[in-house]
Amino acid sequence: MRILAGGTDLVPWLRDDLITPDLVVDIKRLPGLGDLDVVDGALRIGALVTFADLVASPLIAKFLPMLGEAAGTVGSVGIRHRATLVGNICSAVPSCDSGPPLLVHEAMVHVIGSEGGRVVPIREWFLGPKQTVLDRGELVAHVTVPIPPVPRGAAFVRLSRYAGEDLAQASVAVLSLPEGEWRVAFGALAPTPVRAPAVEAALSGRQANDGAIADALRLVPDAIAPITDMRASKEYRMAMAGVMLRRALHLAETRRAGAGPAYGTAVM
Amino acid sequence: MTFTTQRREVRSGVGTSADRPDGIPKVKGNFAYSSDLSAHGALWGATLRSPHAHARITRLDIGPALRVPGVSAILTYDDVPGRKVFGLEEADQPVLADGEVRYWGEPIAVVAADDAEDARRALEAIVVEYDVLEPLVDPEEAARRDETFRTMTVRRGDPEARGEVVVEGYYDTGMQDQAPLGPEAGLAIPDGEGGVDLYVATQWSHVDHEQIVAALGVPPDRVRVHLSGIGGAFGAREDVSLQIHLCMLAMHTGRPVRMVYNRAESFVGHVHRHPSRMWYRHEATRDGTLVRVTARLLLDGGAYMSSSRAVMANAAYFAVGPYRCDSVEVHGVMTRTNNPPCGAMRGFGAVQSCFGYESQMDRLADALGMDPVELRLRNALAPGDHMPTTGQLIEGSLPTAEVIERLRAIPLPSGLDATHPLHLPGGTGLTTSPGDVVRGVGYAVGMKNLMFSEAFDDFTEVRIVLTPVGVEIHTAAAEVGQGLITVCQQIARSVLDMEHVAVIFDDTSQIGSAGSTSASRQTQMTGGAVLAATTELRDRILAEYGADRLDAQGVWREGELTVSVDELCQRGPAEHHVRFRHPPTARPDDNGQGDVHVDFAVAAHRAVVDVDPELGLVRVVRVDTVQDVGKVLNPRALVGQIEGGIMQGVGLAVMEELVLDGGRIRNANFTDYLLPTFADAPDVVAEFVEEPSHFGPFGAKGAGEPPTISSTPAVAAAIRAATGRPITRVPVHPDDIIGL
Amino acid sequence: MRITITVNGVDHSVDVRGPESLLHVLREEMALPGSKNACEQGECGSCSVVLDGDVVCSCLVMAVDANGSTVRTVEGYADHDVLHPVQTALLDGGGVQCGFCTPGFVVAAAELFDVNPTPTSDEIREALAGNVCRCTGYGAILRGLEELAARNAGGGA
Repeated sequence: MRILAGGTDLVPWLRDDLITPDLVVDIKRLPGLGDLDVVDGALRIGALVTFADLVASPLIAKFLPMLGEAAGTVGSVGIRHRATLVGNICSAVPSCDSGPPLLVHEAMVHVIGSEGGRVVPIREWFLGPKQTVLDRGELVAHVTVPIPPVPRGAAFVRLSRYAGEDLAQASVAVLSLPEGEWRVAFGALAPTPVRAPAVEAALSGRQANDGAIADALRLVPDAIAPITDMRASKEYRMAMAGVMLRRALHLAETRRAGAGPAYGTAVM
Repeated sequence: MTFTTQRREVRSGVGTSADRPDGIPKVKGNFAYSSDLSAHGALWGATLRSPHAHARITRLDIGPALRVPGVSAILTYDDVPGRKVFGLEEADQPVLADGEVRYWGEPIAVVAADDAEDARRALEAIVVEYDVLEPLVDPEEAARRDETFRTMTVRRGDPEARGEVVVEGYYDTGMQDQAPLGPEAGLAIPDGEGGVDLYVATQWSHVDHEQIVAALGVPPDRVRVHLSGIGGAFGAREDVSLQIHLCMLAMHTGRPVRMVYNRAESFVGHVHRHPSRMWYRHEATRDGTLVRVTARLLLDGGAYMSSSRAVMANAAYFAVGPYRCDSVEVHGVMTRTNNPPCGAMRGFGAVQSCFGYESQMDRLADALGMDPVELRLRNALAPGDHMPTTGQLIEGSLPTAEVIERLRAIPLPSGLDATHPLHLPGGTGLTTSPGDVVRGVGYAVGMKNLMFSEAFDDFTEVRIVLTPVGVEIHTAAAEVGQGLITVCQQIARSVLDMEHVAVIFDDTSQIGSAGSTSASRQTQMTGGAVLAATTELRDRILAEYGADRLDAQGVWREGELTVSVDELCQRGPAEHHVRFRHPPTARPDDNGQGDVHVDFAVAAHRAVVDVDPELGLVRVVRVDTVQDVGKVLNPRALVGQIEGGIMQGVGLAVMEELVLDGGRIRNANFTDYLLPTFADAPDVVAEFVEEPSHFGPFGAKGAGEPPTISSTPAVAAAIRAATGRPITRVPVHPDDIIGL
Repeated sequence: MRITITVNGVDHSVDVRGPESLLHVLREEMALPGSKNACEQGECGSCSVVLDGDVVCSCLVMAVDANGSTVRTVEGYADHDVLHPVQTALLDGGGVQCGFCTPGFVVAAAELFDVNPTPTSDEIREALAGNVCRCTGYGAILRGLEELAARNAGGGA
């Protein structure tokens, strides 16, 4: 059984026989799955919320601007109007653009099924390429993302081969929080999007200065497991992860200090 | 009968940006491309392809597939009724696999079924067993084993000539794909009398026709090839793809059959640009005068010949570029391997060697401590000089120095414009801040022959018909999007002084060949034929009626309308047919010497790039160009050719490459075969030099290919300037910039 | 399964099977071949249509999923002989060569201008980055649409 929301992954997978489900269930008429609102200090993003919705949402711009930036890098306008954030984490390809931002924001995945509901922390969600903890007969109703305390700063840096629509070759999400807390996650650099707790620990309580960054970068190779494929080499991805992390740390810190470039528009 | 005596001016003649006649249907979505065609009761065709780059077929059983519901026919090698091979230069490629498959994706069987899904099921039900063989995929190994389509040597001048300053280098270019957006597609309709009508997107209907009738084993008049709407070509439609298969299926079933390749199939259904490995040595005096150029060019033709011999010749003849040099030696080897067949793509061999010699010119300038533009100017080829390779005297126009000087005078763009992420390397991925960026500027100059060379009997036929409502131009020339159709109209309007001109694409039974829409040839050939035919018709009419002018109202003498156009059409002469040739060319001698070309064009490009050296990302900011076009017939269409051609050159420079693994294409899709998008597109500033060709209509030269030739090395040079990296291979990868 | 889709103001009822795409049904069952089949992977934009108000790649929409919806295709932009301003802009700028990408550009650009009649050059580039053109190099498309934006700005809107 497969769930159909936007279908931007499902339709080509079905056509190319990459998956052969006995049943495809369209959830678009189920009530409540299109919600994008604030509930108990968290943003609730329903299963039918598209990346275009996220890009356009004032709530996202206000509370989770990095997620809005990440949403804007997915595919093209025509894809973003169909592709959903929940679908993106259910497809669970290693380059999944929602993964790193949701990981640093410690999102919760709200699953419903015939046995009732359960809530899965995003860190436990991904099992491998195209594999999640979702069981047959279950579907994701929504994802909740806690609104982080202020002052905060975040950055999502995504490497692609050209400016056109491309799968991420590597991505880094950084969230800087009060009291020197740092959260770091990588995408397309391991079988699943991954948090990097050792990197975070090295940064903890510190400013993103040269020394802290050098300490953090030393731990990057152990935090990720990039592969060589036709798109990029393992060595390139490994080297770029460090460069991107350094840039993302600077950007997040600048933004936390309120002196940096505005969210949601550009880095300049 | 009263005649008005007011003259109406022709508004859309030569020199104007006349509108395309097919523009309105194209923006409305009503223009019928070959993939849009259908017919009542049409079957769907589909092709079974080899999953191996090299294998013997030990068993081929279509029995189970014939029992799939909806299947009407399954045809294999044994069912090819006539000549079992086809090919552009030499018939060496089996219509369907002959017991051995020699490249990944080679057609083995074709199916006709009630719909696409039935056809797909039938393909899955065909039983094929293979004895998989080791594929030969390394061109250097193929060269050692003498597996070649052509080897050639161009020798000119004193082999002992030596320069004081010597630079050497190896250069590589990847396998580029034309990637026209319209997939290969066609519709074949049996005529009920043992013949067939094929509607297909092709660059040359008559050469398709020749190959189809040979394979079907029928007299030529049994098959008519009709041009249908063409969704881009760039060389990909010069070879036969599904033409013979469709006709076989239609003849066999007695029903119309349509076939449309999907994108993955399109990537194996047409030939590609030959990948190359080149070694060069340039020798010069201390003041920068070229003394001797030696080169070895290794191009891989893949499994079958296609147009590989002509591509090899072009790469070798243009191996020095538009520069004077009196001592030259070029060895060319075109290998035969189990890689995908390569053939025509915009630039046709001149692209590969231009990357080699322009990289060398920069290296030489560096060794001399000389400005690279000055070095090029010092050696710029001009009329009265001899081609450095073939020795041919340049008799027509060739404003090499002028295109370079004018290019240098175009103001450079100002510094980094950081107003939007799209202006930075990495784009909306926000990888790059302005402080991460370094800028580079690079120049390159390229040269190409126009029209067919080496004694090819190159002709085109045009028939002009006057009707009371306007002029008809009949031709079999393929309009692939470039705007030939508009240029032909403009020429006819200007000559006949009539605004209403229609271009009618005749099928192969109605008119003779127009030759290929390739080699930058149709403006000069079919455009030239329209000029000749309309001029001759006008002169016949004026002579017949003792008149002094002709226009849409009729025939005039001394300011009086003497014969109305209606009457003229009744009495004639109202029709004129020409078979039009360019001046003959010679076969080369054993040393590659001779007057093998008709005409040449040069172009110069300057690229400005912003590079993020830490991430290896490049944004091509602007490409400026000055091109030798002879005469501008339609400014808007010309700019379209130049900008589009530059984009394909930029694509080869930084992103476009088919990646092979044991002969298999790993990126036969638009996810991983990267085509430049709006977000990648540089701005272009284009200027023209108008020094008339000795042969083209109104002095025009073909303009389609030069933009694609030197734009690639210009971008590579700019990346070198920005990074200091050697950059000896295109497309340039991030690893090459980072130095991994 | 029998589905009904309102395309360019006309109701079409057709039988579809399995995961057939909206693009396939438009082209093969509804005699609307204007939307093009260049990649069928959502990478090129030549199949762009407006589905219930949003530009989408019709090759990535299951036809059954569009049941009951309203679709506008390239065939729905000109009013007989009167072209949509975006269609005129593409022609005037020289943005049409082989034309295979043109239907997608018409749809995507018309929707951009519907939301924002005076887009900047960068906004045009970003909005149309999902539409691949192999012939023009985009310059002529950009110039045509920039002129339309300039005209809209000058129109005192």
